[in-house]
Amino acid sequence: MDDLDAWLKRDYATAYRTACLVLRDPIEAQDAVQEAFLRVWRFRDSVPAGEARKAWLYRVVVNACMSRLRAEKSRTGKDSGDLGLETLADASPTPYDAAEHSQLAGDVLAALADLPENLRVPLVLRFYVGLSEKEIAVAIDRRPGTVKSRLYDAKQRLALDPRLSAWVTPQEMAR
Amino acid sequence: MNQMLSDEELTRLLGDAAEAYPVPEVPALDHPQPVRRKAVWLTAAAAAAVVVAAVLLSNGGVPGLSNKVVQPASLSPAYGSGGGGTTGTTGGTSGGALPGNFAGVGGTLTREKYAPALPSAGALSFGPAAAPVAGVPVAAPAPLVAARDAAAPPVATGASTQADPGFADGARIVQTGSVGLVVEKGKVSSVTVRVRALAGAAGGYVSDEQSTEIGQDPTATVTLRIPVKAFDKVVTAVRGTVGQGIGKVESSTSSAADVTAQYADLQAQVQSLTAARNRFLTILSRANTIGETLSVQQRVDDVQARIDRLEGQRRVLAKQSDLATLTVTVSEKPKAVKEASTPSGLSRSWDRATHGFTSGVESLIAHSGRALLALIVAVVGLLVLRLGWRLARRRLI
Repeated sequence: MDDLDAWLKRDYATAYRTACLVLRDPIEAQDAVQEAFLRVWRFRDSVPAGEARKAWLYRVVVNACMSRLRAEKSRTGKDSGDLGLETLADASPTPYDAAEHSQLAGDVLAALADLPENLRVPLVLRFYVGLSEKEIAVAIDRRPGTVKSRLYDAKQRLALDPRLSAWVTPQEMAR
Repeated sequence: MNQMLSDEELTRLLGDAAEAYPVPEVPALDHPQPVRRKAVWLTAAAAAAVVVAAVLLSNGGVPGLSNKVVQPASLSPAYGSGGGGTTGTTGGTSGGALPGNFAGVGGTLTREKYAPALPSAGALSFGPAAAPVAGVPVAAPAPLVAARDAAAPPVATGASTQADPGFADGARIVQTGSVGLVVEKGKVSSVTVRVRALAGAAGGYVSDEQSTEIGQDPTATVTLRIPVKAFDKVVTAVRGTVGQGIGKVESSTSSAADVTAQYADLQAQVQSLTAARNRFLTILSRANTIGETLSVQQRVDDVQARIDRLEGQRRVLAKQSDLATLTVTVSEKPKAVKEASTPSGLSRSWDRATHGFTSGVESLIAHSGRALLALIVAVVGLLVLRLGWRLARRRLI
């Protein structure tokens, strides 16, 4: 159990920031990660060993995030993905406040906010968490082919986003 | 031609964006509390006692029991009474020691969710600041939690601060009424405007309006929400809008329901449940394991749900009793039926002739059924007679 404790402790920051990128609300993200870690602890006997453990953890985290998004949708009657930056800025300590001096972070977060959830989640898991396509497939309970397709769509949408193109030099772009 | 962002570039961008979210400190991470098996049973026993008390109180159970149970002093005996027969309250939850970081995680979740307006009381402290319980540690507030608390709405305490609707004895009356006005042609709009203005003048508002101004029967139905105290004055004023030959009052109804007892009952229930919830939060603040946390958390959720439901009912009742509802229907006078003119002699004769002809045809058609039946009977009778006559003649021959 010490191993599990240390492992969760080590992954807390990444899991929290993953939830932030998915939910775009640090308070909700904190609650989601707490909920996810409690679930992991409750079902600690089912935690797989080895490499599959990480994918399993993020499956729980993603499920917790999706539950909150669904609850938010049903509560507000609209897709939280449609939340504008102004709405998010109303919350107390949002990253948008902190990002006033970090235009890059603000632009990336805004571009992420425009992505639908089914594209945003695999993108974050792939390029922030660093999961492989196979691990993402486990985390979001989809086939690897679906993950690949969604990643492609997400990257294509981001490539069309003018907010991001300002931060990427042509030399850094690749096919 | 747009190019894809490279994987490295996406990794860098997302990493930079994620850095914008400062990772919160996990409370009590470095100081996990030792798990005492005895404390588990004691906490479970206290939780069971509070649950039973809450259920009894919420059902309007034993009078006077609320003081006994919700007083902090009564908790001490419950803690010290041992855990006999209380296994069911914590059954099904996971036991075992909770690592320090998870204790902090669980604690933070609960405190922020249920006591957002209260000062943060450290990793595992959930006690309300307004009524601190002896023995519950109070620590310095965490920055993130403090910021969140400032943004969150205060938790309903059940102690109503609703303004009195205007009755000296604090009575809660739900007053409703309706007035039907019939006005001269073309006056529906003007009378409706005056009725609307009355609502504003009385400190109320128009909650609904439906009007049909085009067509043969223009009507308007206006629903006013006005202070209960001004109800009679507004009804009189509405009736006065059709004076001076503009129209008349066709109907007027009024009813009142005294909901004072119902309102007081709701208030009492909310207060009792709030006290029970606070006791649960105190117990939760002493939870040391995930099993304890989850078990008591479930109780808190249940009680909070009941508080929310009752508080909602109380608010609806308060709103209904603060403002009376008056429905005013304005319609035009029905058009007088045009009397038929007396026809002249020739015209009258022609009318009689056409009427007689029509009546004759109708009579003919009406009697044709019988005539047809009589004809059929006659034909059949003749055929029978003829056949009989032939048979008789053969015998005679």
